[in-house]
Amino acid sequence: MSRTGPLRPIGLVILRELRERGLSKSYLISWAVLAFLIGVGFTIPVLLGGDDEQNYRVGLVGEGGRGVVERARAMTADTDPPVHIAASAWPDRAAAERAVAEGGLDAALIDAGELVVEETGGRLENLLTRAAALIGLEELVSTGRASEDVFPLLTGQALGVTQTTPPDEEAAKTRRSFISQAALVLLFMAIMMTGSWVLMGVTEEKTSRVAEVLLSAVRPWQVLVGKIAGVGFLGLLQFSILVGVIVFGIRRVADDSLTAEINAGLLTALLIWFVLGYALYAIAYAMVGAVAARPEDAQNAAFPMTLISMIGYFVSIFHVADNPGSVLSAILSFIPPTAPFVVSVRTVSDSIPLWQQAASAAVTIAFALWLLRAAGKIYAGGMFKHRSRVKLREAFRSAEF
Amino acid sequence: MLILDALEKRYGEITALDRCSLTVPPGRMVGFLGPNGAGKTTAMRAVFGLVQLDAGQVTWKGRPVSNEDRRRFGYMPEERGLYPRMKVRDQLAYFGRLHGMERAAAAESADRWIERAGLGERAGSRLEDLSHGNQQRAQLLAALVHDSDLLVLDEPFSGLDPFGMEEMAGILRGQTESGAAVLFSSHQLDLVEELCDDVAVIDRGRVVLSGEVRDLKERSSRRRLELDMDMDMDMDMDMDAGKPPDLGIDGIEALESRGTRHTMLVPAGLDFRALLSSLQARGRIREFSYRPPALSDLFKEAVGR
Repeated sequence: MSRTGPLRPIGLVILRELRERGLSKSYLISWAVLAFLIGVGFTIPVLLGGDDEQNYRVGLVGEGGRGVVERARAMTADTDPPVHIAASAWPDRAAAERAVAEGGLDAALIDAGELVVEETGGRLENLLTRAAALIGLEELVSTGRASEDVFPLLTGQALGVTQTTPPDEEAAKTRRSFISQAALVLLFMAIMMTGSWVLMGVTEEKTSRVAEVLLSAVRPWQVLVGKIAGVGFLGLLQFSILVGVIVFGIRRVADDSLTAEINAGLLTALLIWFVLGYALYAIAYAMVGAVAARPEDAQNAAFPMTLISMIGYFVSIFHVADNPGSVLSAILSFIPPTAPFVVSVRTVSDSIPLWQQAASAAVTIAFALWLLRAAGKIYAGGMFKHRSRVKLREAFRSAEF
Repeated sequence: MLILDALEKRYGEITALDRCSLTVPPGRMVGFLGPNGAGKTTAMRAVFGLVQLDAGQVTWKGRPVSNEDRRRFGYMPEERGLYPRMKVRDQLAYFGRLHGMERAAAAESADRWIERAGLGERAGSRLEDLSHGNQQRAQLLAALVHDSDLLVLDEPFSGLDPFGMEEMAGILRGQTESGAAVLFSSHQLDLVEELCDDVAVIDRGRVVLSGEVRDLKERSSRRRLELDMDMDMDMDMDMDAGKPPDLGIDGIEALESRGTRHTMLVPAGLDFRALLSSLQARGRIREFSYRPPALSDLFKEAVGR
C-alpha cells in the first residue's frame, strides 16, 4: 500500500494547499478583488475615453456644402479614434446659426463658401477648411490653372521637419518605461500577497499545533517546499491572469507598438523572476511565520522582510528604471533580495546581458536553497515553541533536525 | 520491536533524558508513566526524530528508525493539533496519504475509522466545529488511519469522558490484538493498570521501573492491606486522629485513613492470616483485603515521592 520517495510528500502538501487554500474564503475574496480591479481598469478608460470617438454635427444651408463634408469624411476615414461627421439640411442661415449657438450643431456650412462655428480654432473647423481648400485646389489643377506642386505648399507641408531623436527609439523608450513600471508593480504585489499567504499558512500550522503531527511523518523542508510551491502556484495563477488581462486590455486600447514590446521572451523572463522572487521571499516569510507566537505577531515579525522588498522595489523605480545600465543597477542584480525587481526592470529595458541574467538567477537560486536549509531548521525549532515570539537565531539553534 | 536505548538529551542545564531505555514489543501495550517534566514527551518525540539526541539511539526491528519506518508509525502528540478548517474526512485521508497510503486506500480507511469512532455524521464537518471530545477522537484517528505498526500516544485519554475513555481503550486493545506495538503516556494510573501489559516509569529522564505490570506487582516487596473495622477504644482514638491502627508490625506505610477504612502498605512476607486473627480479637472486621500493591503504589515508590 505504501509509496515512498522524498517528492511524494511534497506533492501531497502541494495538493492540500491547492485544495484547501484554493477554495478558502480569503483566496476567493482575492479573486473577487482582482476581478473588481480588472473591471475598474477596463471601465475607467472607457468612461474617460468617451471623447476619443468624435461625432460632429454639421448643418448644410444650400447644397454646396455637401461636397465639403464628404471630402472631410474621406480625409478622416482611417483615423483612429474614428471621426463621424453627420450632415443635415437646414432651410436658412438664421435657423442654422441659432442651432450652432444653442449647441444643436457643431458647425453650419453656408453653401460652400462660409462656415459658422460657435468658437473658432476647433478640429472640425480645421477639417472642413482643409477639405474645402483641397476641393478648390483640385479644381484649379484640373482646369490647368495651377500645378500639382502647390499641394504640399498649400496643405501645410512646406517645410520638411527632421527630429534629432529617431522617433522609433524615443517611443520605444517610453513604452519600455511604462511596461517596466507596470511589471514592477505587479511583481511586487504578487510577491508580497503570495508571500503573506505563506506567512499566514505557516503561522496557522504552528498555532493549530498540527506541525508536530506533520513533522512526525514528513521532513520540515518537504513541508516548506510543498507549501511554498502550492501557494506559489495559486499566486502565479492570479498573477498570470492579471498580466494576461492587462496585455489583452492594452492591445485593445493602445497601439500595437506597445504590445509588440511585450513578447514571449519578456513574459518568460518576468515569469522566471516572479518564481525566483516569490520563492525567496516565501521562504523568508515561512521562517518568520515559524517563530511568531500568534497570527497577529506574524505581520510584525515579517516587517523586516517587507522593508527589504520595498527597498528593492523603490530602488528599481527610482534608480534602475532610469539607469538600467549603471554600476549600481548591475551590483543590485547580484544581491538576491533586490535581484528579482532590478533584473525584471533591466530585462524590460533590454539593458542586461544574458550572462548577467543567468548569473543573477544562479546566485538567487543558490541563496534560496541556502535559505531553505536555514528555514527548515528554523521551522523545526520554532514550531515547538509556543509561549512567545522566538528569535530566529534561537529557533535555528534549537532546531532538532 | 521499538527500543529506546540509553537516550540522552540535555537542554542547557536541564537534563531531559538520562540514559533513558525502554522496550515496546509488538502486540503489547506499554504505559509510560512519570511525573510532569520527567521526560516522557521528549522520549516520545525522539521516536519520531523530533529531538536531536545527545547520545543513544531509537531502533525499530533492530535497526535505527528510518524515515520510512516513521511513516508506518502513528503519533498523537501532547499538544493536540490538526487543521482547524479542514474537514475531518479530508484531513484523515490526507494524513493517511502522507504516511504512504494510496488515495483510494486512504479514503476507505478514513471512512472506516470515522465510522468506528462514531463520527460518521461529522465526517464532512470542519474540525473546529466538533466538540472537544470529538476533536480528540479525530486526533487519535489521525494516528490510526494508516494502520500503524507502532502507536505513540502522549496523554491520549486526557480530556475524555468515561465513555470516551472506554471507547479509546477498546480501540487501543484492538490495535495490540492485531499486532501493533502501543506506547502511551498517562497520569491516570488506574486506567494504565487496567489497560496495559507493561509499564515504564520515568523520573528525571531515567526509566526507574519497567516490566510487565503483573510481574512488577508480584515481585514487589510490599503488599497492599485494606481494612474496614470497628475497633476498641484505644484504636478509635488513633482513628480520630486520621492515623491507621497500630497493628504491631514494622515497615507499615499508611496510605489513607478515612473513618473506619484504612489503607496501608505492609511488607510482603507478612503472615496475613495471623494478622487477621489478631485483628478479629480486637474488633469487628467488615472488610479485609491483602493483595499486591496497586500500580500507583509502585509508581510512587519508584519515583521516591
